[in-house]
Parts: sequence; C-alpha cells; structure tokens
Amino acid sequence: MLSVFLFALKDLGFDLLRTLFSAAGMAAVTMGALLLNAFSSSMGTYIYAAPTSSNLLVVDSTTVDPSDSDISPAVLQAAYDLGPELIGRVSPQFFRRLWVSEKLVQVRAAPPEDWPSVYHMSLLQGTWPSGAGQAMVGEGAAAGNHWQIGSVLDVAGNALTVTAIYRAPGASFSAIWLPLEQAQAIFGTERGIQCLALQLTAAADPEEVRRRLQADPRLTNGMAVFFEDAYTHNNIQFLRDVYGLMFAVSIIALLTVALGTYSLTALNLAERAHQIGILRAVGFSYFQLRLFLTLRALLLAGLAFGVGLAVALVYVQIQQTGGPVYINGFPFTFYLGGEQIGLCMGLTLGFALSGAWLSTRWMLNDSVAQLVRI
Amino acid sequence: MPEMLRLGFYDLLHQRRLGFVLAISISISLMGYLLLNGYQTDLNNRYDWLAPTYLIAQQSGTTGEFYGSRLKPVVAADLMERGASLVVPEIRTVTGTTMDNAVLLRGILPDRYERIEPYRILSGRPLLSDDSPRLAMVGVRLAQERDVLPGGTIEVRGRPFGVVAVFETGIYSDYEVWISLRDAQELLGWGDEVSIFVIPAGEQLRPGDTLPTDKVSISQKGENGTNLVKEFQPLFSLLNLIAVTLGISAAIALANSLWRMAWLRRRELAILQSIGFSKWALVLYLAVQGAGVTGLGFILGLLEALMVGSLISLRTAGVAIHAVYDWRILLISAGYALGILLLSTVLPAIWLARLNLAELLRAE
Repeated sequence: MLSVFLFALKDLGFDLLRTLFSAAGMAAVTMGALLLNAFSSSMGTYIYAAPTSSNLLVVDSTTVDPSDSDISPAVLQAAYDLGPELIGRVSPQFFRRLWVSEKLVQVRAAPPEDWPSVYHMSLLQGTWPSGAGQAMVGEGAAAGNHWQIGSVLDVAGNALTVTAIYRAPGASFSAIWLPLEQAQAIFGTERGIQCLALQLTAAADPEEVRRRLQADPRLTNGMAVFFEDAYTHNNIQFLRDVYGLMFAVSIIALLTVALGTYSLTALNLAERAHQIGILRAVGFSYFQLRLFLTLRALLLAGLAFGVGLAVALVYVQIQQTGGPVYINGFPFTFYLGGEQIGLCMGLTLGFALSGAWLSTRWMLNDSVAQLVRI
Repeated sequence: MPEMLRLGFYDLLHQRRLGFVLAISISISLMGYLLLNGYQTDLNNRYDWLAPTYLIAQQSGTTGEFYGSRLKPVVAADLMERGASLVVPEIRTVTGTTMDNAVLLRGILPDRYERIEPYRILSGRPLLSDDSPRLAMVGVRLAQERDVLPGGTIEVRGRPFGVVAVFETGIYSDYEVWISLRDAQELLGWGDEVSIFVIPAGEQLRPGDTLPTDKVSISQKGENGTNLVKEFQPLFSLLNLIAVTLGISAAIALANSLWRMAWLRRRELAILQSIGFSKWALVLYLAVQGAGVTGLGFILGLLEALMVGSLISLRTAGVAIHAVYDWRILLISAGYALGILLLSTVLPAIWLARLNLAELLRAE
C-alpha cells in the first residue's frame, strides 16, 4: 500500500507543471463550494438557530412585516390582565424597517428596563441610551456600517447619537434600538406599538397562556399570539430559499470534481496504455493498478482542496474584516468552520474517488496483450 | 485545413465518452451562470425601474411603495399647498400570515389610478369608481399562483373579493391585488390614512424634499424598488464570483484534456507540420474539438438551467423571483462559453507550438 502511495506521489511530482495545472482547475471548484458553504452557514444561523426565547409575541398576524402592525390599548390591557402569576413582564415594542445610511435596518424600541431581561441584550461598549437624541446599535450593525460610539445616525430625518453597542440574538443583532419613550416622541404615539413581547413566569405553562390570550375577545383584527421563535422562523422563507439554492449549487459544483477526475484518469490511462500493459505483464494486479490510479486522483484532489481552502480562507478573512454583508436587512458574516471544511473535503475526496473508480472501471478491461500492443 | 477539421472531429468522436463528460462539466458552470443571470434579470425587471414623470410622498426612511408608511389626509393638503397639481393617495402593504401566503395589496382610487400606473388588462374589465365594494383586480402572476380568473374570488386578509380583471404591468405589481382605497382602509382598519401620495414630477416638489407634516419625504416613484435591488447586490456579486470560478475550472479541465489528446497525436501532428501545415492548423485541430465539447456543454447547460429554473424560485414578501432567460442572457452566456472555448484552445495551442518539431517526430 505504502509503495503504491509513494509511486503515485512520485508520478504526480514527475510532471509537476501538469499536476499543478490539473489541480488548479479543481481548486477553483473547491474554493467556490467552500465560499458558498461559508455564506450559507451564515444563513443557517438564522434558519436553524436554537430557540433563544420562551417569550410570547402578540402581533397582527395578517401583516408580513411587523411595521404595519398596530397594538391597541385594549390588546395591551388583555396581556396585563393575565396577571403577575403568569406574566413576568409585558414589553410593548416599537418596530420599523427604515433606510439608515442607505441600508434597510430594523429600528426597534422598548422600555429600557426590558432590554436585558426580555430581549437578552448585553452591553458591549458605551452606556445604555437614556436621553433624547440617543440610540444604540447591535454589534452586527456597528461592524457592517462602521458605526461607533459617538456616530450620528439619520433615522427618518432625526439625528441620533450612538451611545452603546450591544449584543443580542437573532435579527436584533443588526438593529438600532431606542428607548420606547423616545421612539414615540419621534414617530408619534399613534401606531406607537407594533407588538408585545410577553415574558412568562417560571410557573406558567406557555401553551396554556398562549391559548388563553388568543381566546381573549379583545384580540381582534388579526391579532395573534405566537411563540417568539416560531414567529421569527415563519418569516424567513426568503433565507430558506437562498440557503437551499446555495447548498444545491455547492453540491453540483463539487460534482464537477468527479467529472474532472474522470477525464484526467481516462486520459492518463489512454496515454499510458502501453506502460500499464507492461506493469500488468510483470505482475501488477488489476487491483494494484486501480489503487495506484485512485490514489493518484485522491492526492490530486487533496492538493486541489488545500489550494482551494487557502484561497477561500483568505477571501473569508477579507470579508470578515469588512464587516457583515447585508441582504434584505439581515447581516451575514462569512464563516468557515471545521464542519463546513470537513463536509467539503469529504465531498471533494468522495467525488474524486467516484470519478477515478468509474474511469478505471471502463478502461482496465483491456487484456495485457491488447495493452502492450498500443 | 478541412483535413485538420476532420482529424480533430474524428479524434473527438474516438474519445466521445470523455468529450461527453467534459461537456457535462462545462454545462454545470454554464447552468450556474445562466441561473444567476436569469434570477438577476427577473429581479431587475420587477423592481429596478424608475417612473420619471411621478414622485411619491411617504413617511421618511420607509419603503412606502411596499409597506411600512402611514400618512394622514392632511399631507395631501400640504402637498397641494406646495404646488402639486395632482395628488393620488394609495395604500401599499403586504398581507398574509407567512411569507408563503403573503399578498402585495394596493388600495387605489378607481377614477385616478389609470393616469399614474400603466397596465394592460388581460381579461375582465377595470375597477370603476361606482363599483360595489369587495371587488378586485389581480396581477397576472398572482392570478396564476392562485388560479383565479374574472368572475372568481380571491381571499385577502381572510375576506373574499370578487375578481373583475387580471392585469399585467411587467413589474412587481403583477403579484399585487388592487382594490378600492375605501375597501383597503376598511380591510386594514386604517381609518382615513393611506401609505403614499403620488404626485407629478417636474413641479415645485423635488426628490429629497421633506415636509414637516408626519415626517414626510419625497422620492422618485420606483426608487424603493431600485434600493431593494441594491440590497441583493452582495449576494449576486458572490454568486457571480462562483460562476466565473466554475467557468475557469471548466476551461482548465478542457484545456488539459485537449492538450493531452493532442499529445497522444503529437507524432501525426508533427508530420503534418513538417509537410507544410501551418501552426494555425494546429489551432484549428484543437478548436474543432473544443467547439464540439463547448457547444454540447452549452446546449446541456441551457437545458439544465431551464429545468432548475422552473423548479426553484426565490420568494420574498409576496413576490416570487423566477429565472428568466431572454436573448441578452443567451448572448452573454454564449460569450461566457466562447471565453471557455478560447481559454481552453489557446493554452494547449501555445504549449504545443513551443515544442520542438524534431523531437516530436522522434516520438514513438
């Protein structure tokens, strides 16, 4: 086995230029597949995120974007009426999707005392905004827009100074947050609340509370009660479509590794039919020759993968330095972890193996006599 | 020259299994390129247009042409005071319980919308100002998705509306349902509020102007769509990079194969050169094989793109983006295939031309 491996290695090294040329073609494919994976894994953090909240969310279920939802005082009262034994906090939330610095950004507001407890926000830099003209930005938004403490944002014609950068799960990661009072001072109290986040007590049965509130006659005009995570997941169909498309394209792209290996091995066999005949004549078995050609293909694919990985890592590093990429209001940071690299490497080697196996299956059927005559 | 064409063609036929595999390899990269351009074209066609003759007044910072803007009637008076000769209110929002069943809803004034929105009635008749409530015009793409025709009904926010017409605009409004402004206000519980006001361009008010009333800003009609398209640009840039690397990979694989196929024929090619065939004949020999493989790859790529494009659509807030292939895309993709062909032919041709003729003649 070792001798066959060394033989394959020497064979690749013999015509190094051709080997590198062949590897370059495959490296381009593996780099593409790795980048697609790096991007789709970033999307996967939204699509397959583990539940981060057990909050209930009251929102107009007939509006796709919460911006158009409007919580009436009666609905707010219905939530309060559930009582402190079931509801720890009722947090009214203001929500808009606005163009800020030429990017579509979620602008949210809630009472400051709810930020850490209901929305799981933690302060990274600065101080929580408290006065007029102050706002805080998520770390995703800060990185993507190069916003810092002291930056001034134009939000719907109002100059707001960034006083804090926070960390929070989900899409809130890239939002701008204000104290509710201030949002209502800017945008008015009419349509001042788009949804209610309800933090349940430890004793409450979430499904039972959800059912009770949903049955309240004050919840009219499309108002519905959701589990917060379920609501978020329902509204990311676009991400799921793009994620599916990217994953499919990355697999199809890697399929070309199998095709490339097939053609390289087939040509190798056509070029060396005479030598292979001699090797067969002096005692090399069909299995050993097949092993040699397969190992050769695997080494080539391994080299290509290494080159592709190196280029992809550099690209990912450059992308990460520039901050997240924004698409449809969601920030995406390219991420290439062990899982993505392992998957792509496994597929690259697997496809190379299948290409070489298919090629040798057809080409080694000739007899020794036929081969040495070529 | 015809001899070289024949020789190249026969050699390709001799290696037809290999040629087919190479063609599939090229077809995959072409499929990716076609799909990418197909989706981008549909996105641009639907969203990336500006109506130069009209402006809109919307709540500052919002994407009022789709959702999120709410204005009071007093804004209309303010606009007229500032010289707008025509003020047409509209409601624009997205209704539905999930992105899957979302519908773009537009509330219109039946006696005025024809002036500001060019459309073509495909069947039925337009909405009229004296129509009874709960009637709707449905965009052609939405009508196809929901399988509705004039005389049928469509459910909007849980209430049935009688369909009076199916219309076509060629932009995202082909996914909209149009109902009277009064019906929309009642359906949404908006009272007398609207989403936007459409006003003529070229008067006193200009894009970028703001009104203190309700924090209103003026922008070009269609600008919200062009901004949304810009939001998708990073995604398309990445996919474009991938498509180009796949093309380079396919070109390298083909160049490598052509070079090796020519290497197998090196003695015969050297003899032909020695009896007077020029180096261009060598290029022709490689080009005919490359063209055969690339041509087959192009046809296969086109078929694959048509198949995948019909299966996968990107859905966002009531609009499905499909892969659309027009002549421009076919020409660009043909250029892409030509690039693969040139790269894969030129590289081995240079390589072969540099080899010593005497050594090649000695090859066994």
